[in-house]
Amino acid sequence: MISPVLFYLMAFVVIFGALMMVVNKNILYSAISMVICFLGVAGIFATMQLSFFAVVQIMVYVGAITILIVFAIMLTRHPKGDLETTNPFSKNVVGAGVVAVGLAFAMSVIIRGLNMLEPQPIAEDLMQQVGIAMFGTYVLPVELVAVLLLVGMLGAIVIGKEDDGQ
Amino acid sequence: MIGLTHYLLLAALLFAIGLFNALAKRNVIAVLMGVELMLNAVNINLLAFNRFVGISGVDGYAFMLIVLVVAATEVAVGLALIIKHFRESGNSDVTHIDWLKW
Repeated sequence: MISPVLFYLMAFVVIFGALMMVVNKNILYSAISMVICFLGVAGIFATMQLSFFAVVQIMVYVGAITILIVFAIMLTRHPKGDLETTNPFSKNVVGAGVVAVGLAFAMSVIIRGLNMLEPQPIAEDLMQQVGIAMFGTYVLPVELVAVLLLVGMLGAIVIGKEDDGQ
Repeated sequence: MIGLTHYLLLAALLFAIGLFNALAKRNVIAVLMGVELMLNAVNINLLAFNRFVGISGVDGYAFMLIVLVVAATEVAVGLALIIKHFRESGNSDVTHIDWLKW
């Protein structure tokens, strides 16, 4: 049984953070709003009693990805030093709005046709099962994603390196 | 009563907002942030389906962790590309990234 108060609170935090991220003109404030949204998503995971995933969400998204994005914002600041207008809308904002609203409408129509399901009872040794599945059934995808992460990190270093030799 | 449809609706809304952000912004970093939002929506869907539908499987949980790693890799490579582009052109505007345009 999931508490409606907690769910709606966390859903509000998620949507509020996402909308603030969209409307903010200052990209640093957009990044902070994205942190609020990620924390709300961690809360959403927590309402499903998936505490491990909530902690992983906070560590990876709030801890690592946001720091990377803030660093990139700081490294790509406009030479004029004006942060107020760093996150403008482009000229295809109307098309993007039509696409997004249409997609949300279509998906909500499909979702409302689904059956309302109650949460399943959660296993005591859930994370043990997940670990066994990841290194048993899904060992190939896990290894592939490990190689992808390694190649991605190497690629990021190579791409981001200063070209001293030229 | 909170059920599966609530989580799916929330994820659909988050995905739509992320898509709008990715399509309607000029700053490259903002586009990347929109993609992160969409990946988060996918993660909510994976966990919710496994939590509400999966009787004994843990497939959704395992794939959520894989999507997480892919998202981290994507943001690292993307930001390296953005910084490289910024160093060479002096701006971070998607409308200026058209070197490959014929």
